[in-house]
Amino acid sequence: MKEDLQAYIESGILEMYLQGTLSAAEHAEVDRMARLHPEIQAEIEAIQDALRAFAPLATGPKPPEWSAIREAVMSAPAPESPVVKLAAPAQVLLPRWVWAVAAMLVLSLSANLWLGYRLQRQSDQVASLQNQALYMQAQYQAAFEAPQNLPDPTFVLNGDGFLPAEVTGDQARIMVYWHEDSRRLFLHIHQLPTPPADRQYQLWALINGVMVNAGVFEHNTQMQELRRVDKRAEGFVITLEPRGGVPTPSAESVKARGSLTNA
Amino acid sequence: MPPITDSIHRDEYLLSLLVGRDERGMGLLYEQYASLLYPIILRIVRDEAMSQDVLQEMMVRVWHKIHLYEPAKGSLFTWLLHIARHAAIDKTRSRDYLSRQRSRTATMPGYQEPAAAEASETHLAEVIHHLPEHQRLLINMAFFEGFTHEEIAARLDIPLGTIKSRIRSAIQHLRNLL
Repeated sequence: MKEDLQAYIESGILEMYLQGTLSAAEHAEVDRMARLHPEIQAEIEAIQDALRAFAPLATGPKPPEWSAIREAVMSAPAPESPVVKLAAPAQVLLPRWVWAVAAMLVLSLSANLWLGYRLQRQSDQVASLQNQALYMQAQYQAAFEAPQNLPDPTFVLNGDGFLPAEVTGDQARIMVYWHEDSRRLFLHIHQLPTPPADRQYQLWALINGVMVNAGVFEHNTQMQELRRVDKRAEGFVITLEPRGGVPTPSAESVKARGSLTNA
Repeated sequence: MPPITDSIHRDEYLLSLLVGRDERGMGLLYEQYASLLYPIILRIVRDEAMSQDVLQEMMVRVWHKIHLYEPAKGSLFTWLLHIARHAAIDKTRSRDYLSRQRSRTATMPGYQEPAAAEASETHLAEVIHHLPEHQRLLINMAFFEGFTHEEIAARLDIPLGTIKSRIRSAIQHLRNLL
């Protein structure tokens, strides 16, 4: 167990946690691990402390001093929009498919908005899609609370701009969808064996011969978004790894593979 | 203010101040987390001035909504990160933001060489000066300038697959020096 924890820590996931580059699911998983294991919590704090020590000497844009914004912050009226409360993964009462379908509702709405917008304003196409993509992320959790009237999730992913890859292996079939403009990556699990409790599937994008980590995912969540992949991948590989994932995959851990195809 | 020795106690102390509507808690929270959250906001908004607006707006939310934070559901950092991301996303949908995006092309600040004058000002700077240059660059770009791993790989011309392990090595080295 100690070795597993050490491997988890050395995977580099805690640094990504503090960079804010993990997906919401991965971030919640780190929080869960930190609550369960004081060693992980201590490691996060040690990294935070090192970064705080480094911060005064960092170059590039810096946040304003507290004294410069204190009065504006403290005198501002209470915001009207509600603050999103943290989801507690272990206490979620709705089934996982609701998350997947709710995400697709948001995806559908966003894609429709984007298509309409593109027709009207060709020159703003890229900025619009980026903003819609960011908004989707915010709406993902909001939609969780209103799962009624949900559409077929495959409708949108088979639509404009998504390049599919069928990733297959022994008793495994997963569709990976990469959105060429927004660089966002989704997967739709059709079949995937249940892994041991201490293991988790991890997706890799093969880019110029390098396996780029696209994030870990749960085998029992049908539709999920993984990490953004900035370049078109030649293919995708799924490996089975210790929970939290590993920095580099090994050949013996590969469970499925497939190539990206033109839509 | 009592001495605070570790992150958990710092969080507990500042939370006790905030729940008690003591403004010192906001100063402490800002001191602890603004330098970590600001680059994350910058990575989404890609505009320095508007990122500062977002940081200020999220601090207003924190002050008024601190009662919604539930420690059992996650760390204070995670809660703040949620608020920061949502505030940043809201900003990118604002009319002001969209009009600024249309009026210019380059939005992300370019990489700057570390300032030698600043780096010699404190004892801490001297300690950190022992960090190899490439590790200082990595920490700076990954945690303080809001660059993605792909952007770092391209700018520093190093393989994307090694970025994560290199960042961890750099942080480990920094910790050993402190």
